[in-house]
Amino acid sequence: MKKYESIVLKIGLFILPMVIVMLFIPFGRTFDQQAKPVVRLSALKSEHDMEIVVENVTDLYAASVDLFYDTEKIVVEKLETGDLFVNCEKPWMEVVNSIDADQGIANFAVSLLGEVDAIKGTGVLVKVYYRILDDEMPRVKFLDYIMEGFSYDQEFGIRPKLVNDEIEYIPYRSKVQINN
Amino acid sequence: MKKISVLLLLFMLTTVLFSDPAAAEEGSINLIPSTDTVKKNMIFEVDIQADNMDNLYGLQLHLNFDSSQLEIIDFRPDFFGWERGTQYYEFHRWDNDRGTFDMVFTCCGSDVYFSGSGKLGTIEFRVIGTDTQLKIIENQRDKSDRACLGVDNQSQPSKYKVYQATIHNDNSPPDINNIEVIDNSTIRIEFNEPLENASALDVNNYIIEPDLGIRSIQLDESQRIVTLVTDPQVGNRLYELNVLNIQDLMGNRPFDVLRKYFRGSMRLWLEAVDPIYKRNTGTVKLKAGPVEEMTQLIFYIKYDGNYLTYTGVRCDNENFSPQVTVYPEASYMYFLCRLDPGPPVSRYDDWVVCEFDFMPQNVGSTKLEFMTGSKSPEAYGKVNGISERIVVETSDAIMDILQSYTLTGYVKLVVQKNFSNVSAYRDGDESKEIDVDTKGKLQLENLIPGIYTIRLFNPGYLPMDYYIDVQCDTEVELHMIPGDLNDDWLIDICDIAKICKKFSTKKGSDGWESVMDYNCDEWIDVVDISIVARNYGRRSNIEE
Repeated sequence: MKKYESIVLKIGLFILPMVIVMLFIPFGRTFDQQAKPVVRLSALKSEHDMEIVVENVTDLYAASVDLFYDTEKIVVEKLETGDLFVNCEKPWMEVVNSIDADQGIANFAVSLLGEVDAIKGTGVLVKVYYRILDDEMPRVKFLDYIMEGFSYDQEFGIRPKLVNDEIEYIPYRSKVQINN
Repeated sequence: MKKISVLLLLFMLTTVLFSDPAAAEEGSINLIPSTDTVKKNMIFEVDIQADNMDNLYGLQLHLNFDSSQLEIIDFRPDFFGWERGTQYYEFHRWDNDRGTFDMVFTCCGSDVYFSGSGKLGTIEFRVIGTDTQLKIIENQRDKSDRACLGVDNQSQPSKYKVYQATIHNDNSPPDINNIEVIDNSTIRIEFNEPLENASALDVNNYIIEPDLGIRSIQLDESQRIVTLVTDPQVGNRLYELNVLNIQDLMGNRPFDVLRKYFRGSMRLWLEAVDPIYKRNTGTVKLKAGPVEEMTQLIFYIKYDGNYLTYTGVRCDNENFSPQVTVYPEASYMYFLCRLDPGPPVSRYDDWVVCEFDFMPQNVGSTKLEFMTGSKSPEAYGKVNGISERIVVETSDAIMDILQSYTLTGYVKLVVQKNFSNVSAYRDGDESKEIDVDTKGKLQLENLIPGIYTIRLFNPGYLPMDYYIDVQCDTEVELHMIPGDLNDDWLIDICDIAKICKKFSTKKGSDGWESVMDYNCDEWIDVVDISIVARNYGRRSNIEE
């Protein structure tokens, strides 16, 4: 009887809390991660083209991408709206599309127009056409969308912002995928 | 021949002595001392001068002096520079016991006589007493009215007036009559008699304690007033002046050090805090030098009401309670300031007593000055528990009032309408709101040269600080940046999304937001979106 009580006590005091910690916390993180859309940078098609892909978005009304790059290593030549908006079958507008080759800043913004349903799904937000000035691929880094101010010291910094139907920022996870 | 001459002389004398002499109207005998002042044991001379003589042929002169004070050492006959024995005969004698001097002379021959003025001779005296006044006079005591008798070439006798010699016999050392503090660095010492120059001007002969340096010494024309220029004094401090080795003109020296006390003068001055600009409060500091145990300060300040308006007084010292009363006069203004510190004030450096604020009314130079006469500054201080007045030295201030300037700003929106919601603040301070009129104009007046910050707010626009350098009357356009629709002081995709959401909304319809209608065409359309888009990425320059 005493041996049985001892086992129960051990289970109650040590094993159960550990099981709870091990099971629920990782699961929670996974759920949270799964709930956020993913912004992925891919350079799949060409060495000199880059796509910024938004995955699993549920409520996208507008989006912007700010690029900060080292002008001695990269030349951004063109920004082009991707199929996420082009094929959304809703009224939309490319509002900002500018490249400042001197400063190494490129801005892109696109938005739906009027009271329409937001965009759901996955697609390319913007295509970035660029040239590398030396042989080395620059280091790419996603910048926090909440982070204020520009950052000029990046070799290639990308700051996407997603805005939902309520005109609020959409949190997301970012991923860089380089596939040569 | 000699006997004949002596007989002739005696005859002449007899004639003179026993004849009835008529008083000569103009002629006189003057006894002229070689010095006004003598001292014991000093030898001096007295010239016997015959003035305004008319055909003088012979003369007898009897003098007397106080034999306890003077003695005759010698007599040197002169008799107009004539040659003795050829042109004249003379006889003289003196008696130092009786204090008498007798002299007689006569010309030789019938064609020698004297007219005009000339010296008969010089008596050499020695001072043997210490009476302060020594006199040499005609001897009326023994000779009555025949003490000075002359005779002309016609044997007519004449009585001459004798002008006595009076000499001051100075055997007393100099002393200080009075000491007067003139100002913070000047002391005047009045001596009872003239001083010998070198000793009076010797800086080593004056010592002031507690240590107060002497920078220079002046002796006035009378040689009785010595002015000492000292280092700055400590107001109300009791100083001891020691004078030593000083001597008068006769070389008399004090037996001991001359000692006097005086209280240091306090220095007060006005100092304008530059620069001062029209219609901007200007400050004038009342400063004071070191002072000990000051108990009260009262003064009047005079100023030109056309230039200045008194606005107030400030005092850092909690124990001071300045009471200021302003009075108008026909051509100027003045105020009375009275300070009654609780405990007596002691300061050992220059210090600010209080600060007066004025509002300058006009450009130009104007003077603030301490009033004088019955309104001269009065300071009192305690010494050994007794309150006494302190001598105050003052200096006035000149205020140079400079021009101030006007800054006029014109707020620029996308369309020059609807300025009613524009808020403007000076220096980013929300308590300093600036009026913006219906045309977007704002104005700051009476500014001193410098850089000014105007902060503008308007719904739908970025809040911004505008920095304007004002060195003259200045007009500027203040262009506001449209696009911040969510008031996060940043124009980004949120603002774009917000206006895109209202795309193609007309005034009066559901969801209309006038703030987004930047061009005021009553549509929220691509023009408004482009206005926001153009400013994408811009942010407020206001530092939080």
